[in-house]
Amino acid sequence: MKVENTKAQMRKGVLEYCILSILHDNEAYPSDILERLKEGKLIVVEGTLYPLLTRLKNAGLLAYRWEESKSGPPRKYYRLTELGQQFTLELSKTWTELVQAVNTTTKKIKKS
Amino acid sequence: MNKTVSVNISGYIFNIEETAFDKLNRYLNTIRGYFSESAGAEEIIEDIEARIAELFQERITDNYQVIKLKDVDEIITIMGEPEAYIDEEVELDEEEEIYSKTERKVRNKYRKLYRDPDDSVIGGVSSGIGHYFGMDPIWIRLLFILLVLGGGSGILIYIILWIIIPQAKNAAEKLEMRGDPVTAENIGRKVSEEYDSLKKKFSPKKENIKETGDKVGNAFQDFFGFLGKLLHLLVASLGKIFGFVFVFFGLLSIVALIFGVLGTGEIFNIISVSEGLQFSFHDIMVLFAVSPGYISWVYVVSIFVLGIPLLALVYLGFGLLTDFKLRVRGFGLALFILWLVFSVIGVALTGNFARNYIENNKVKEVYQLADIQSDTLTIVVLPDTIFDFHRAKRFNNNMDYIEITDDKIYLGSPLLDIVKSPDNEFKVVVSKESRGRNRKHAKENAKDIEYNFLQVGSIISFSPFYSLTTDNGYHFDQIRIKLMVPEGKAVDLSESSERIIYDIDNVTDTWDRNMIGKVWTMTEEGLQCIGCDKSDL
Repeated sequence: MKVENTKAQMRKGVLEYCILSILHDNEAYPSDILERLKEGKLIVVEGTLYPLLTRLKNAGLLAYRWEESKSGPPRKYYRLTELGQQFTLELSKTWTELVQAVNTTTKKIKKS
Repeated sequence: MNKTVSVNISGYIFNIEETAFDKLNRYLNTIRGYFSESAGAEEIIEDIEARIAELFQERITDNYQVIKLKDVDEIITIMGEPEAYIDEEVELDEEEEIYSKTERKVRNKYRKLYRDPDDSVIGGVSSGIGHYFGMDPIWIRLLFILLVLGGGSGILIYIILWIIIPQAKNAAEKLEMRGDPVTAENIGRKVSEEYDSLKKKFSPKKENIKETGDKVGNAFQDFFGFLGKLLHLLVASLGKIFGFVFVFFGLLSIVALIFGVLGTGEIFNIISVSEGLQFSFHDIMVLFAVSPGYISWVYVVSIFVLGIPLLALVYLGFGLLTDFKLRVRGFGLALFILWLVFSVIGVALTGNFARNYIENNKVKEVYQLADIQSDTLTIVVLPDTIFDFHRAKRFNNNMDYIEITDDKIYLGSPLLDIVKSPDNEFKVVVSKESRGRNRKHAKENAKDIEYNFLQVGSIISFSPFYSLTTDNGYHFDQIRIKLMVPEGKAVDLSESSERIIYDIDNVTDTWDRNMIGKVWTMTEEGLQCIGCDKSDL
């Protein structure tokens, strides 16, 4: 059991929720999303993001439109679908509950 | 000085140093190999390439035109090593990998049957099978050779296997073929190996050192490879032809079905003509006195029960013709269930309908013939005003002897038998047979049959048909007439009587056809043609 693996697993679990949250307020292009994720140290490299976006899109949570770019090929701007909105709200609720639950259970460890 | 190549990434042309290109290509192939199985792989790769193009574009200035190894390295750092692309599905695989180290058997879990394009004499079938069973392909090849020599079935088996076993196309599939776990690491190694071997193949120096055996193998491979391509082309075009036929006839039949049912029901006429029946669907409904409500049910059920398989045929045809696939989950199942439901309704309707014909019964009417002046009774059949007697062979198909008018159904197949009378009188027994829900119903239906004959002096005239009312409908009604002839008296079977006589027993076992035009006397043994030439009977 490696601590790195467990850490990675933890991050992965919340990654989807974070991506959906970023897109909750406004649409974004993968690099924008990535920047936000990098700030939170959730993702280090871009490669991780593409399969995730495709999967969320295939699940009907995300949609995208093309936009021309000055510096290269056209970009995909992602936004939440109706379903994605609901999904995000649901996750948000669960997350709040989870944070509370984890905090309550782990209090002792923090003190010691 | 470095050699550069120009590449097209996401629609942009880049000049890239060869070493940098090698690295980038290997990187992309590793990722591609990894995604080859998962959904949306093409899209993910496109996204990644688009991003790489964008990153390259950012680097290029007027003074900096060529992408170097350093740039590729940087981009790989930004994009992440292939492992970074792992989505959660893979974690399962990684767990299994741990097992595979301790228990070899687990390796077979990954193993899939593919044709091996890297180690092939003809189509790579043998080496693929070899990989699958962990054997040297030479033994499989020997087995095929033996099968070819001993009967030739090997050729057919080989061709079939060639067609049905897919070729291992990418690194992931090649790993599966060998039973190696598909991990990013393994794919990376595999891609590198392939890349190196490809490089060797195309490097001009190596060509001279090729071994002779290898050359023979290659010639074989070229020849059979060509044959294989031809065969695949043939199979593919055969598929197209079938696809076209399916679509064409499927659509045609659907149109015909809809027009036929919504229109006059003539489609059923088209179907039945081939069986020699001259009835439209509507005629049959009238014949059996089916209620209009029932008829509409039959129409609806017919459309669904016949239409759904036709639709499936068209869909199959489209699938063969194009890559078109309807991606609605459960659509096929829903259609199948619909078809099943309507089939069940159809069976129920038929069963309900058939119940009306389950029992049979008959009514017998006995007529004593009087005022016969002579010892010989002449049998005549009245002119047939309804049926064209020569239209069809009589006993092949009784349905040919049904004619429907507005209020009557005429049936043209009364059957006349001649037997010995128990006393000294000529008698006619008309037996009216019919079917119904029960014996009583059947008897009522039998009473509905109307049949006439007329005796004037020594001539008896039978009607060539009997009739029913359309209100009551057809219940497989049959008229059987027994003419009872006293011993010592005779009957003269006139030419016209051929229309109705049926299997008349006689002493000489003469066929009905040959009994016509002769006088038959009832003797103690039975009917006998006295004074007839034996060759005539």
